Amino acid sequence: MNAVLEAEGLSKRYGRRWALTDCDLSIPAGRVVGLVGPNGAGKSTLLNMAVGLLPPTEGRLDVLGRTPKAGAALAGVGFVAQGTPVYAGLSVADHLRLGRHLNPTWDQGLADERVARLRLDPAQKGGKLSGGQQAQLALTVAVAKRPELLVLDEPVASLDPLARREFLQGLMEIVADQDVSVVLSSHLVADLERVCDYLVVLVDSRVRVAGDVEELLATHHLLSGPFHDMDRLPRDWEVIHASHTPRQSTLLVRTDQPILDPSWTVDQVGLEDLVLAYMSTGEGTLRLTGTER
Amino acid sequence: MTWLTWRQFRTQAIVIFGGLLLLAIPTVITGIGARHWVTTCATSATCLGNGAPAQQYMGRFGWLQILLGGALLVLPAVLGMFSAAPLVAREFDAGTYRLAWTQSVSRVRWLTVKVAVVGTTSVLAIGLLSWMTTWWFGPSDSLTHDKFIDSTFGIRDVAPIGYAVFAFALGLAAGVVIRKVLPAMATTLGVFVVVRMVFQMFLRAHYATPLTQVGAVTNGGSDVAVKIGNNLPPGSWVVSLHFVDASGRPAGIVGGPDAPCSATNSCLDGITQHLVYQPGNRYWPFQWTEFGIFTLLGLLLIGFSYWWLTGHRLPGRAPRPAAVRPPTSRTTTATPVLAHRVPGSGAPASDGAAVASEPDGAHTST
Repeated sequence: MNAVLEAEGLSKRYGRRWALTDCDLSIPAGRVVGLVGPNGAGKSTLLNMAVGLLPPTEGRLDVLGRTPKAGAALAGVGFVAQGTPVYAGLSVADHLRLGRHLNPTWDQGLADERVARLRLDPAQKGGKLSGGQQAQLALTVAVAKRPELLVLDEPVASLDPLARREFLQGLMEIVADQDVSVVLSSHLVADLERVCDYLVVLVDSRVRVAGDVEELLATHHLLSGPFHDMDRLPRDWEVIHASHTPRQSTLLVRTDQPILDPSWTVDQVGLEDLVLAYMSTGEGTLRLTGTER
Repeated sequence: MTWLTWRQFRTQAIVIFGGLLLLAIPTVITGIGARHWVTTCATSATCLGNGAPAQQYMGRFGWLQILLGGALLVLPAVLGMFSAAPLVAREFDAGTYRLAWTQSVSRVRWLTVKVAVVGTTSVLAIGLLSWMTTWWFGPSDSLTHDKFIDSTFGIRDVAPIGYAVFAFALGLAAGVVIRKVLPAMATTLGVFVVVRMVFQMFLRAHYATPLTQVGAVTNGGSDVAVKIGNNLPPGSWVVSLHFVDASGRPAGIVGGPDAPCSATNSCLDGITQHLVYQPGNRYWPFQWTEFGIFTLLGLLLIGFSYWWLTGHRLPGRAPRPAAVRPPTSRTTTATPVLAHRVPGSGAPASDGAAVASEPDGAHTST
């Protein structure tokens, strides 16, 4: 497997607070990877390290086979930062010029075409654009760099639902047109479900689960049945989440094997519930509902 | 990169050089006028040996004196505040550093172009203003010989260029460290004024050991002071004037009509007057020393800004109160791409080193 991002024991500390701890992660090439986790889980920290804005406190991080560092090492990485910052005083056309001057691999045709299609006024100042337009402009600058890897840090967090949909739509078009790997973070699974085919769940600064979305959905089962003793479950079951009443048990189980025990009612689990189960640490605090698939 | 820097700086540059140009028009006209009086006097019998007409002529343009001197006095600090301090701080404030530093340009190159374009322009502007001011005051200075005194030394010749380098570097470093535009600007102003005043009031007099003229006090203190002062080389800077009694201790104020001994002057016996001064021929060594010290301080601050920005201090979030490393989760997941270390083993060996590089954790919010 060819990895675009590979982390080993990666940790980051701000002062005395650990923002990311012992993160081992390998993100395969050619995928659209969703990085999901609650606020403060370390998503931004991981992505900022991946684009060389932050140095790791310890551990190793390779992006496209190199240590990320501002400069030529970043030529292959396009980055849309959290809040999609653009220069308030520079026009849309100025932003494209900026990209052209600062990137040897810049594709002016692609940038112009995107600006035209998004109906952005080239003379409009960055500060006068709507949030959605700012995000689109930031994405345009990142994409026209013709990166091998596109990193987006909560790009839609501050957008209204329509702008959010349009942004993700644009992102999917880019993925379809270009040979680019994408890492996209969000604290909302619904955003990722639409575009991602690979998922990394980051909770409390640690990677809780990572894998192909289809595979995750296929190997996770929501079981409900009469109360079961947790010690007597099949050995190959990995219980992600369990909630019990005196009479009933509800489990989210990960296993490659089919569920044979007829005392369990087996439901498929949705991506959102799956992620929520991994995010919630305590038992029984979350009510999972199955979905028909 | 040069294009981007220029694009972001051009409005300021236009304002600065537009202002200089506006100031240059009356300066050149009246400066030529003053020189006309000087040459007229040199050949005319009526004012030979007395350049007063030139001075009188210049005196009519008191507003220009204030404008030129005032501009040169405050412009280094103003440029440090408005050009240099926001240079990096605004990128942090607006979050655009994440856009700028993730293009294919290294941070060293980014900063180098900023420093080269904005720094050089600022220093050049102040150099031009200083040259203009020095030229305009030329006829007056050659008569009064007081370029060396506190109020004019810092607004003539090369010293302002040193201040410009220092103020720019100070603004840059404040922006790099503080990362907020307004606090960085305030810090730049405060530190610049303090450093400039400390040099002017306490340090400059010691660039070379001052000379002292000693005179007896026989006829009332002030009278003697004038007599001694008249013997000083032209253009000298009187650093201090004090009285010493026979035993070498500083003496109090002597003389004056109310003094009990004013009739006999008996209480003045043994008291000498000491006039400490820097001779006028030290003006240029002092100018270059002032320029050199401030330029060196500026270069050190620029070097510090590089060090801080490129390797050691990088933007992060504000630390939260909970400072404990989270324990490893008990949930067991065993995907091939995922692994956890054993809890407790995660205490990093590099704690000390990391603390050293981030001693206070005072990261500002991204």
